[in-house]
Amino acid sequence: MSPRPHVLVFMFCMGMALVLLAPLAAAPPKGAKKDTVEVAVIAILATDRHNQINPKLDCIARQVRKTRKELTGFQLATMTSQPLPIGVSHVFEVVGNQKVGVTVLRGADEKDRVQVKVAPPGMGEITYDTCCGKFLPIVTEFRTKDKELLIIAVCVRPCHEK
Amino acid sequence: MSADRESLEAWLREHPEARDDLADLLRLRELYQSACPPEPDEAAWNAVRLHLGEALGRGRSPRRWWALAAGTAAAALLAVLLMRSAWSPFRLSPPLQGGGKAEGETVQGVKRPFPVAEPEDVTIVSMDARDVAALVVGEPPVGGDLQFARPEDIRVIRCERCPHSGRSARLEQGDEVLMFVTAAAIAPPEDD
Repeated sequence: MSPRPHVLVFMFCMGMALVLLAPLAAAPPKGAKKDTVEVAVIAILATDRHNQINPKLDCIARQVRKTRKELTGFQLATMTSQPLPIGVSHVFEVVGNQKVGVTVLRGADEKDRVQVKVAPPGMGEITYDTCCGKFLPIVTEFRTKDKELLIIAVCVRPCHEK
Repeated sequence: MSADRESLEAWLREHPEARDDLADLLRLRELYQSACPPEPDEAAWNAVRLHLGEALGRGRSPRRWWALAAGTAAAALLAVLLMRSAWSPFRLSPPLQGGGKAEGETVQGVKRPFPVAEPEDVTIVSMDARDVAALVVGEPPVGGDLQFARPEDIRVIRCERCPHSGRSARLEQGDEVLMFVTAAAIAPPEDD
């Protein structure tokens, strides 16, 4: 006894539904991650009152000391990292109530580069194109009450999964 | 059963005229059991099958089949959407073991320990770098070695002057590190 045509139609519809919907069920949604970029901001304090240099800051210390030989100590002060939606400005508070404005203007392209606008304390806005995962130091003119010089560094981490 | 039998025999003793009726009933039962009723012939079965087929055909019209198929597809779609929402990154953390009992509560006579956050439960957004050594749970927002940008890593698009200080940033290229420094302030033009 062969199956009736209606049964075949029903089975065909079920099969098509499974074929079309299975890929949706198999992969979790990733849309929310694509629209944000992880931005990290660190604050570095440089001083002439001690000579302790955080080993992670060796290369910055060497570069800064080329023009400011009086600065002998370099220490990490604050570190912040959070995902930012593309196109939305966010203010990171660093030391001494100083604020750093960061806007991710364009998410990672095929070369994993991101366009960012940074507004450091006491300086005009800087717009630049950067690679993923590296800090760009910005030496400000702000000094704390202990006369430490504020250096900030900004990093974006939108690295594509490999 | 025996009580029924006794009551029946007592009743028959009081009504002896009914004994003949009882004997007739017993004979009638033997007659029924001695002969089988005739089976329906093949034509009768065919007629019944035909009627059943027509009745089923009328009950399951093509429209009804299509409605059933559409309903099944909609149910499958709903199931997929529910599964996707279960995978959402904004999903709440899983409930506590032991049916969500409060911390330190006794479950089946065993005192459960206070639940403690594990590293994956905590995301530290910002902290004082001097406190990293004091962290018991969680990772600092920035960990590991710091990699700084080299000249080939940065392309400056625009440097604006600060409206308050009149200072702008200037890119300084070193041997190892690229960094922005503050350029000298440019005094705004005075109005005559």
